[in-house]
Amino acid sequence: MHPAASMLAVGMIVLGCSGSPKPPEAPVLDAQIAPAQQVKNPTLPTARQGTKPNQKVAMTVSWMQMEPSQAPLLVAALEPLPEWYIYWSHPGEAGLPTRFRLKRQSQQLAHTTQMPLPKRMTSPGDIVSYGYEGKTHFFIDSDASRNGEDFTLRADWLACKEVCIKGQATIKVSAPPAQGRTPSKNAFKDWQYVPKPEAIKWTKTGPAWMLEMETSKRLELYPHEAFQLALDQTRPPYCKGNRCRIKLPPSAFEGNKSLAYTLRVESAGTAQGFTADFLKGTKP
Amino acid sequence: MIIRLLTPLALIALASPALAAPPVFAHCGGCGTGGSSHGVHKHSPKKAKLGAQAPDFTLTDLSGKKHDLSNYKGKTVVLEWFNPKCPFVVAAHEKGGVLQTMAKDYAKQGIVWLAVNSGAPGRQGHGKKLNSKAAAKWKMSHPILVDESGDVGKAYGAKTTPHMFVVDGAGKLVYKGAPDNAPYGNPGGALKPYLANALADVSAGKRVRKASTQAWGCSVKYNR
Repeated sequence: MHPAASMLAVGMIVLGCSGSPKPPEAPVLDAQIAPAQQVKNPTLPTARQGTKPNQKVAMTVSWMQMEPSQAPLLVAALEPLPEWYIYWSHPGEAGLPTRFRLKRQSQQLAHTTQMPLPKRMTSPGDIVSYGYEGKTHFFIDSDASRNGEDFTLRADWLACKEVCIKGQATIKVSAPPAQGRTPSKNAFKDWQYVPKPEAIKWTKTGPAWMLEMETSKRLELYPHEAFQLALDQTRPPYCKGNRCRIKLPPSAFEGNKSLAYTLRVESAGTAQGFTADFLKGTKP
Repeated sequence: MIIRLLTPLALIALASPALAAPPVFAHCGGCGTGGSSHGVHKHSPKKAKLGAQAPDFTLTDLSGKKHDLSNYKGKTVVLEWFNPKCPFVVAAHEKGGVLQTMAKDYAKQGIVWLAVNSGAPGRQGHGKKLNSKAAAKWKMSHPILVDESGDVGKAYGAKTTPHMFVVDGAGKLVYKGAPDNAPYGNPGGALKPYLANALADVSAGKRVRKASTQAWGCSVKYNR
């Protein structure tokens, strides 16, 4: 646990989806979360924890501040029921990105969301997607956290198991209190798994592009949307051991300004993510 | 706050032999009766590739009628991967959805529209009764072809429902991707009608400008 980090409790809400006849188990609550603060949602009936029949994902929010001099981050924790999963911001070949929206009255508030490294999942038919099982924390940075006024946070997700169910939750968020408590281990762990920008260079050998990382035991490449389309003729997994090998058509270099991706690097029992742009520093 | 968890990256180039060129498949042509009786034809391309001849197939619709892709040669064909229980498909076919009237509208221009259900028995969206009920509810004018082995879906690389493919009059695959950039009708910005644009390009005799887009939706419920 990072000594400089502090987490400030705000509230929790559990909202559901539609389409399943089986009542879910009650989600496990984070002990640091304050009592529920229910908000009216125009598109879903009012939900209470454990009573709505189609809940698949529970959402809680809290504040996290890494250093006193830095603005606090809003932390949204989404917890699918066991065996269910939600998607990363780049869901892969199926699914829908998990998205967050901040609003004050009717005004949308600018923000950035940082998501931890996802897990690669393969469905029958060799369909590859990227997402999260279990409780996962998403880190939201916005000016809204700095001016002391309340706002609402809305999350939209697609929860899947054998079937997929779209869901959403909205929660009213109070401004961060002056002093907070220690962050949960899981939130801090997810924060460590947020990919960091990195310059990564590939080398062309014949028709293929190659990457090898000596310090890694295992690499995984998670292409973002444009890169995935460009990789159409290369099937995942794109990496084996500490080497990645891909093919790209000439149109990938002509028609794209960016070919972003996330690289999962596993070494010495730990994993970390890096985001990079294939086109930067790479010549066809 | 700075947290560095990993040792600095050491990235080196790796030399390796060139990859082998992809296999080239001859077009099936008029092998409708000479190829396999169902699924992808034997002499057809095994995998769909943009700009190349589309895999030829024979599939049966809910009424028992056989559809052979090569029989539609000379016409533009839209293939729509379909699962009546997928919420994306439901939203696309219900009132205001992107696919609610598209098939009917384009039929007036002579464009053939075929839904394909590659769901395996026992998986979501499979079954004649379920599909027939959805077709009636949504007043679908186009047939739903049954591909429960998933062979045709896999040949085309269909990953989602709805996943759209356009085969031009010469039998070439000219578009694959999403109907638009608005799953559940929400584009999150300006609406981009990818499929309509592709069909407009084909009708005008032009090369499809955006031939590949990111598909969205449920995964196709294959058996393996």
